Amino acid sequence: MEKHFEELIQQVKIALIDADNDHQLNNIKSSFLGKKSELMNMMKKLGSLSADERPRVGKQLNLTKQKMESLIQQRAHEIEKLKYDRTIQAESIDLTMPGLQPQIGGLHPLTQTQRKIEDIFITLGFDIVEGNEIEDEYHNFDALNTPPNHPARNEMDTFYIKRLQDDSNNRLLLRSQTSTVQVRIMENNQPPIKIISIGRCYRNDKPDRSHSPFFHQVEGLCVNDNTTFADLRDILSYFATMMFGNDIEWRFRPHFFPFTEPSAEFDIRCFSCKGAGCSICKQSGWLEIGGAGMVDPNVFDAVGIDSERFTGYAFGLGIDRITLLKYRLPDIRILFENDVRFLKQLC
Amino acid sequence: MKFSYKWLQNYIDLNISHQKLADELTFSGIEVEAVNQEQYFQYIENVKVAEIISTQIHPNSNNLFICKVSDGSSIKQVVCGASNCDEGLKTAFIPADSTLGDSIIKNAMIKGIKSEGMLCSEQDLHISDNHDGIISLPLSAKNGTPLQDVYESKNVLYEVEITPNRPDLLGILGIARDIAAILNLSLQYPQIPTYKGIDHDPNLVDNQDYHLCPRYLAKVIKGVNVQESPFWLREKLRSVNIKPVNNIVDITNYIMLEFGHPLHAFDYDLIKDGKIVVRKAKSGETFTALNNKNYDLQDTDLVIADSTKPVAIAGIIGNIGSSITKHTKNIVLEAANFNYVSIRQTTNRLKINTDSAYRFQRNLSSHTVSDISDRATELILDICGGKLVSYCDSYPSPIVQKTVKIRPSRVNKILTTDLSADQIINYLEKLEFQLVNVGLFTSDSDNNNNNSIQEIKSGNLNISDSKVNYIEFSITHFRKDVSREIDIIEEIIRLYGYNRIKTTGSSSRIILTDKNRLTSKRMIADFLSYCGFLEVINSSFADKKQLNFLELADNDYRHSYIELDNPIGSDSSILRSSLLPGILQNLRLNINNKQDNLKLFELGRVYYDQDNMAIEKLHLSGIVAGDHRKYHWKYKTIKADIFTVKGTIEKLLEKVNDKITSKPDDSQPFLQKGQGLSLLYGKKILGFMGKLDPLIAKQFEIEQPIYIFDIDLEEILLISAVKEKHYKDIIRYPDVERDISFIVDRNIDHADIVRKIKETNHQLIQDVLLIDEFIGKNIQVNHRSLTYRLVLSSNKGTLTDDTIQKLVDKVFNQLSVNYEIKKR
Ligand SMILES: [Zn+2]
Repeated sequence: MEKHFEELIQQVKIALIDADNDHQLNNIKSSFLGKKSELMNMMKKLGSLSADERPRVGKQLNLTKQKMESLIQQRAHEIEKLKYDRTIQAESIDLTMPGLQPQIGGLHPLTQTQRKIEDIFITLGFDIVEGNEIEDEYHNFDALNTPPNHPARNEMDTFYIKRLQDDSNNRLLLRSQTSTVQVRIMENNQPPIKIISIGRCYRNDKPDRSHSPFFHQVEGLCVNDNTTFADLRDILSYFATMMFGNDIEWRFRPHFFPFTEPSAEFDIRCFSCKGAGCSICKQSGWLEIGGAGMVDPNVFDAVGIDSERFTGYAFGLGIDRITLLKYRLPDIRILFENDVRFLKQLC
Repeated sequence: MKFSYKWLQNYIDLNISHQKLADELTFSGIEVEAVNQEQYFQYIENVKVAEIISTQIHPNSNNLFICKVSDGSSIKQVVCGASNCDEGLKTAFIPADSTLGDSIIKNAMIKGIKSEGMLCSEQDLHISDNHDGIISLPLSAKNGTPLQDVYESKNVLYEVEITPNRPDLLGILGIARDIAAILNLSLQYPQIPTYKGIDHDPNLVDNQDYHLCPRYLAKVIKGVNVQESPFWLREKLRSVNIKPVNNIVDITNYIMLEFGHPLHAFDYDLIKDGKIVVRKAKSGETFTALNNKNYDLQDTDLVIADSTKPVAIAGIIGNIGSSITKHTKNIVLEAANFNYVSIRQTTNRLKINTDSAYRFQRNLSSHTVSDISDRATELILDICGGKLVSYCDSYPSPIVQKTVKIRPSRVNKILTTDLSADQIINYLEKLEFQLVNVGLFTSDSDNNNNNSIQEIKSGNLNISDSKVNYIEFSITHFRKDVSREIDIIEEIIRLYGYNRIKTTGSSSRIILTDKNRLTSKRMIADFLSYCGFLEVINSSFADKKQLNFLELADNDYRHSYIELDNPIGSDSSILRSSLLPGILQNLRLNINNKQDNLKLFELGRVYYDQDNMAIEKLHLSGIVAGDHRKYHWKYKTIKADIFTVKGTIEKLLEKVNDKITSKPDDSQPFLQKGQGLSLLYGKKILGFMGKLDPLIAKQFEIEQPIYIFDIDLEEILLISAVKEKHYKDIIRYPDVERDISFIVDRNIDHADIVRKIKETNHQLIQDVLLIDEFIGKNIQVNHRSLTYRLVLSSNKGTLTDDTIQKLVDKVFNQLSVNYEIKKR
């Protein structure tokens, strides 16, 4: 009898060797432990044994059953592990292959520069206003203290609109600088005024590496009881630092604009040659990025602001110029070709 | 800290509205937490002053009395149970048939005796919770006078938060001082009497810890009569919610409220050996306080003791054994100052909150001690009788007043004011800082003379402000928070008024742009970028010839372009009236460069002539060609088509304003027939999108399918979501999905079908998604099979199969009513 038990266990062991899936395992389970299995038959016969034999055989039977169950259980675990390993194996892939990237575009370099400028001045408490590009002679020249015979008024310099209005004394034109916004704002508001305006201007230049008949400017205007030249220097110094980095060097260079007095051009140190002189800065060591100055009292008078009480500063910076310098562009025209290979590079 | 408007009027001639006073307090740095109009008027409306002219015991009760009272016009009989209804008492009487709050007082028979009204306690009238007998009014009150006129009615109670640096404001006098300085009123300081020829008894006080007790002043007053306080005193305490106890305790409370510095009185006969010992507690010593609680003391606590035991935890609370009772004949009046750190530690450890501890924790001035002692003594002698017999003042190191120099130029520089030296002096003298010196700019600088002060003050010496270098002030003892010039400057601005300082205008005051405009513009550009679009920027100059490619109608606004007088060339002689030609040129360039899956947009101005006016408007245009999603080794390429463009633009506009819709529209001549849509906000057309007609594309030398959009950005920015978003309850139960399929005529629009389905039940149908369109096998000509997924849920609970089935049936029913459909 005992020997038979041993044999049964051996049979289970042999059967389990080839079992490598759940189905086979279930078959083995039912043939050795199911209702019709030999072990179960022996269990059923237990009642017919004599009273002193019954406990011993019963115990043997139970032990055998437990042993068989644990062998099957053990194999079940092995099969589970096998399955897991096969899955892992099957799912192994070449992870150097490209992922599915979202396809994103980007903003034009000029827009990026414009936003950066807007953010700097918003931080400084400036309000942002928009102005018209189609203006009249009065706002583009007269109100900005430009004399009637000034060369800038020439058709060689300024684009005029074909008679929309029949006023030959105040022709419509494309503004030659964003300073027209100054006039518009001051005509309709009393100080304190602290604004910037970003927009497109036009000059009748033949397009070349550094000229385009249309270009973009940021105009700044601050008018108050006690606005000083020092405030202007402070604002532009902060701007230069935020735009070009902490160690940027900058300077004011005396200049002439009809609408500011004193007037200056605003230069930053050439970051290509650091001042030694190179082709970018035309050997000067400095790069011009805009003009600035204190609002001329005549401009205040033209717009009806008390020029005795109020003072103000104004500045205009070239966005295209700043973009050109920042990205080291060789030619301004590349900005408006819209070659996607160029756009993708800088966005 | 609480005080009443009327109490303030004791010291200043205050004549401003209650709200104005609250505002003045707030702007001088005293935060007003509450302003309460007293609420009890309604109860004393019908109550009058009456005098008891006779009292006899009720024949049927030993606890009741029959009083005859005179209310000024007649004699009434009232049955009363109060023990103090003595003959001659002036009290509060409410006659029968008048209302008391919600009830009506009636004529009554009380144990067989007629009663024609009621004599009232303060509790009866909701004045306080005092119900120890009926109200006793001053004898000066005239019979028949309405009670409202006797009480401090129409009073207003202020509750203010005092910052820890200002212990001087813990007394009503301190508040009055600040208000007087702000409103430029004169302050009526209470008269402080001086007592001369009183025995100094050095044995009365044994101060063993000068550090924890910098000053201890004790006075012995003998022969006092302890009883209820006079009406005015009770009324003063009541007006700030302090419960009257007896005349001695009430006086000490009154002085504490007035000066902000607590006092304490002991029964002299209960102080063993008649000696006050100021010492640290012994470790393990216990103490039973007035609040009936026991406290274990530590050797860091300061106590006031007699020769055997503590009688008070210094500055915090007294004990039961030595408190003032109606049997007290002789008292010791304590006025002292204690180390505020020590008081704070003991208070925190023992968790005792008393008005006294609250104030002593704030670093009070030792200088005040003699003033409050003298003022209390005067009131005690006046109200309680008795005689001041001896005193002892332990004050080893009197405080030395400091001086501070203030430069008017500095004041004006920091505050951007234009104050003269005179004005500064005036402000500071109101705060009881004393002018001690004026320093002038002179050649021999330090040689200025003190006797000039008198002359300046008397106006004899006229000093121009430009000559004044500094003004030197001695800082009043109760302002320990002031020690530097900048502290003084703060005092000046507080009195001058923060809001009188003009703003510099370094920020712009004119809001010229809608900030929303900038944000929306950026959002739109960012959205398109992240959807794969590259931004382009083109010239404003355009070519007439290219505009004509678009085959616009003669009356189209884009035909009213603006021409230049002096253009650079014939191909740039007009200003662009549409962004499309420019962007199409960009496309051609890039296609020639063999770039594929191109998505471009431009956000720029267009220009045209409208009734001889030059119009400039922001437009948004875009173009899509090639693949919507580029090839990938694993996933399918998606070709750009009208639906990829429509999806992008719909999502973008949904973010702008969820009321924007689109609808098929063939009105744009350059869009392929049946492939154009217009974008709408209500009836307003905002723009369009669709497939560029292949013949027109050819004009631009482009052979492949092109999808475009053009939107009037000015209109979009006007309607871009200005209203803020607010939370809406989310449905807390899971969604259920059901798919339905049916065949329907091709001419029925999807949008229409979805609208009809949603109309079936807006509450339960959260979404309707088109998941399949099928045309072909087994479907009739001009018909299509559509499959929709209904997303269902309810905020009332998980949907049952039964509910879902009923809803689906209803949907089919709704569709059958409107269209001819065949279920699949
Ligand atoms: Zn250089």
